[in-house]
Amino acid sequence: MVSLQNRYVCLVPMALLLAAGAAWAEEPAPALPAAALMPAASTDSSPGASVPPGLGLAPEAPPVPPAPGGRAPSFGAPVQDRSTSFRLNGRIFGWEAVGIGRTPDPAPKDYSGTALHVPALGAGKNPFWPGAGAALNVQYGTSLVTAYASYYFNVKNQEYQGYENAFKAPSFGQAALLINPPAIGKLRLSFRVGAFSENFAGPGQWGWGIFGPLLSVRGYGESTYGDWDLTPDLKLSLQHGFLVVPGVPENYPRGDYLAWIETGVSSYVHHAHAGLTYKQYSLKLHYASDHGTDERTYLNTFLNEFPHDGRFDSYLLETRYQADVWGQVGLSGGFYDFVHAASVGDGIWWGIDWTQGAREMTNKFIGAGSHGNGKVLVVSAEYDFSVSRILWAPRNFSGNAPDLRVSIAGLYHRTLATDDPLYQKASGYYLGLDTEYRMTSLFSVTFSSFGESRDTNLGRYSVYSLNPGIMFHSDWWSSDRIQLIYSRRFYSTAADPNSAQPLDHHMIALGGTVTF
Amino acid sequence: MAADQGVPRLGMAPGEPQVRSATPSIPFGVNPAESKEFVLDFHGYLLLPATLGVHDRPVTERVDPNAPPTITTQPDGTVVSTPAPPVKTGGGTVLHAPPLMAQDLRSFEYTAAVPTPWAQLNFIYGNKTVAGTVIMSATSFSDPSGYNDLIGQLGVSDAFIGANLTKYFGFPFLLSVGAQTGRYGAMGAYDAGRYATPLIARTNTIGETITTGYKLGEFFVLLEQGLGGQLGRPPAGMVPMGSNGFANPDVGATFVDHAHLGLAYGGLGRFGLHYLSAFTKDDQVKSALVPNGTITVLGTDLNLTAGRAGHLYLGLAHTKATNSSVVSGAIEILNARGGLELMEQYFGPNSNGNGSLTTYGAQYDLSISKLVFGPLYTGVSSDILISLFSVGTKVSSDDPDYNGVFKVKAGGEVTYLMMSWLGVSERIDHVRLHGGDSKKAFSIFSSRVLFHTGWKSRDEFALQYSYFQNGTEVYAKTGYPPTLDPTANLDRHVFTLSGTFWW
Repeated sequence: MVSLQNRYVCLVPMALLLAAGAAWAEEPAPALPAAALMPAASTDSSPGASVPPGLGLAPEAPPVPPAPGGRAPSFGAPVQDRSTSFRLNGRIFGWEAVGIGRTPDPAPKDYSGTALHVPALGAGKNPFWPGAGAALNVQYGTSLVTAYASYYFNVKNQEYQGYENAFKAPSFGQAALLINPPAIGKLRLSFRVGAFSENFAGPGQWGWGIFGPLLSVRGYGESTYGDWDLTPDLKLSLQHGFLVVPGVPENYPRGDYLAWIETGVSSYVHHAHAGLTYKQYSLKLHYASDHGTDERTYLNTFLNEFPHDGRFDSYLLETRYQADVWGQVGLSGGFYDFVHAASVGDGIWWGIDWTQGAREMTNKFIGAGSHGNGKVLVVSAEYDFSVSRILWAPRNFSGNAPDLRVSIAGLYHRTLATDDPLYQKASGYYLGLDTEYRMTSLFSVTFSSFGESRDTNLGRYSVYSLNPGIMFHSDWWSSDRIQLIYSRRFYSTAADPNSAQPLDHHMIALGGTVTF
Repeated sequence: MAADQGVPRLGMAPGEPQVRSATPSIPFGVNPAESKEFVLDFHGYLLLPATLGVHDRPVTERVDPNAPPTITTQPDGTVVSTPAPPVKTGGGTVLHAPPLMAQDLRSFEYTAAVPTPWAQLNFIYGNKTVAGTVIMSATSFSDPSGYNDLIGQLGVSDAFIGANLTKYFGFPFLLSVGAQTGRYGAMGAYDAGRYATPLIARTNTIGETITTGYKLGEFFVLLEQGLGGQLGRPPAGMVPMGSNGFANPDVGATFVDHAHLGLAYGGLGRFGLHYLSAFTKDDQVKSALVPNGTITVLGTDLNLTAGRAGHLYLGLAHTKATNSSVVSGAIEILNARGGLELMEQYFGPNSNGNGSLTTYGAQYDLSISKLVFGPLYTGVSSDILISLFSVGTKVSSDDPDYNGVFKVKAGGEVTYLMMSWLGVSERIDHVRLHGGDSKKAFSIFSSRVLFHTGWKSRDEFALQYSYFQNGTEVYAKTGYPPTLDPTANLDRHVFTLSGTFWW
């Protein structure tokens, strides 16, 4: 009887295998057994190994278990590759910005001369990002699956930073796997899994714009994308994602190289998007909800209140018109809903003008007395065009001639609801102009101007700047540049409240960037 | 610089490395040879899980800082201010990350059943004779993380130069010099095994490794030797903190000397004998002038790849620690880094780092299709993979509270690959941290759905649910620095979405 039972037990896996035998001849590939059953390692089996594994695991192999389930071959197991491709992109940059100081009021005794500040003492938007380093984006994969990884290098050492700036230490920024299965009729699906960020509702030509996307989400998780060609001219796009932002212990120290983190709080973000593209017109809807789980037992929130689970939701509409010859117009808007948002981590990473997460959005737009509750309306628009492209019409402008490129942007926000009396019906605006006159293939004159004005508890916070500059590049279409910028800045009292340590009204920046 | 186009420089090019010249001096940027065989090679590995725990949040009592005090006037006219009473906060079932679970990598409790992030990029430049390798690794990603995790960003985790000198010696002779890990007792055929734990030891040293061998018919005699140390030690007075990995300045400069003898037979298997000795003789350690701490490991293991019968690993190791509290993390035993972590995990605080571990490990992996169909099975049809694995260690310690403790963990995994893109898997782990004491034991039941782009593809995407059944005295580490927290309410339900790929 026991023997009979054992026989039946053996039959179960046999039946399962045979039942799935339809796939037997799907891929007439040469024989290779499953990963765990591969023959012993050949001496150079570890990818790129300069020495064989010997009696231990090769040093190139990652210190990880096999993939869940043990199906996927482990690093170094013999496999037959599909056609693969490798791509390397990146950016190398180096910028120095010096602020020319003003005389403090009251000035210390015997104060004389003109102070120079590095980093420059300023507020508001800059046309440059001081610092030196590189970002490396590597991509490897097949037509079905591609791996992406971003690695950031910054000058962090004492020689250049003046101190050992651990915050600038090299780091893996993002890594993700993108799966592109074959299309199902007119439906194309793809999936992204990993640690990454995504941006939405930027009115700029390439989705960003002068004042950035109105929504950026980040975390560990997934995004699912669907594109459906409804007609040759009309495409429906759908996206859904779920991301997790791990928390840190409540007693984790804050500041210095850790930047400012809300401890004892973890977040998860659920976001969904739908879009229609008809010829040059596109309309997209974006929804994201960042849930904060607050596990603090003795600390209060940054608003000095009891911990409380919270939410930070975004509801946004994005429209765009690619009017050939005349440029592109983007208009995005919507509102942010804060519910006990002082307990929400940075799952929603950026909101208005790259304002980071629920914490900074709360501080800037609904006030410290809001209890983390409020609603903010936002509208952002941008118009980008090339003067030569307009003037050359109907001929096609190739870019190999002088050109004036212009971006004009504006953003308006208004606090619809808040518990903070100082921020009720608070409003503000951002204005931006970015121009480049490409005079020759090697030389350009640039000019940008930014303005920001909004209500705060100190009064009207206003910063304006005029930023002329010159730029050198190696060709009409080259992605390299060396630029010298002068910045004249104007501040309101709320933006520059301390006359004893005044902000710099003049800045000079010199830097260069190469993208590849 | 090679990129300079004939422009003479008055100083050194910025690309020149900031080191003194090697002897004999070969300027950087000028090819030392005109060989066209030198190439740049690039590889990588990504394991990217998102993990979420279902947490029963404890209720705590605390005083609302904004609650006004109660003002009362006594009969004698005295005004008394009474602080607001504590109120209850927290409670409820919530989702949080990272999950609160007993899965510390450095502890015996670690099973690797719930994946954790790992990314590495390998850059190799060289030819058949000599090659330099740089590996950049991370267990965290700065953009999607909640904070700037300096320790999770490993930066350059390995950098070494390998030379294949076989053609000069007339027999296999491979020399590797630099910073590289050595992992002995890897229980998987091509990986660190289901527990991601080298059974015998791991070395983290900068030094040399020589691998040589001699072919005797179908047999191959392997000999490997290595010697190395760490670049430094925590300086006296260093304050342990997150940015330095909570370094303890009471460890000395540590070196590891190791030798291995192996016998391989064709593609069938490999038998190995291992000896490793980590020692410190550093007079800068605060606790003693010359403490002479040592950790010595003797081990043997057998790797059998028996065709349709599957892959079998058997290993046995004996670790002897003497005054090991001063031995640094140049050596890891069961992932415990150096003597201090051996004391924390196995020997106890009153052992002075004296004790021993007798450890066994076994893993068996079997493909049912391979077993049933033999060579007819090409790997491009359905299959059932079975894996059984176990590690146990017996502790002998000068600390009576820890002496005689037997820790054991065992598990099994069954994976059914039903389609070229779909599979399911079930894994069960049981961990006993203190022999028969069920209060210090726990089980993990993990169910997975696996997605992949082909039968033999190197990518995999897994949706996983893990149920933790914890004994009443199973604790997890919390806080800063992380310490075992008996009050922490561990998660029982953990969800994971992971993707993995290598090239």
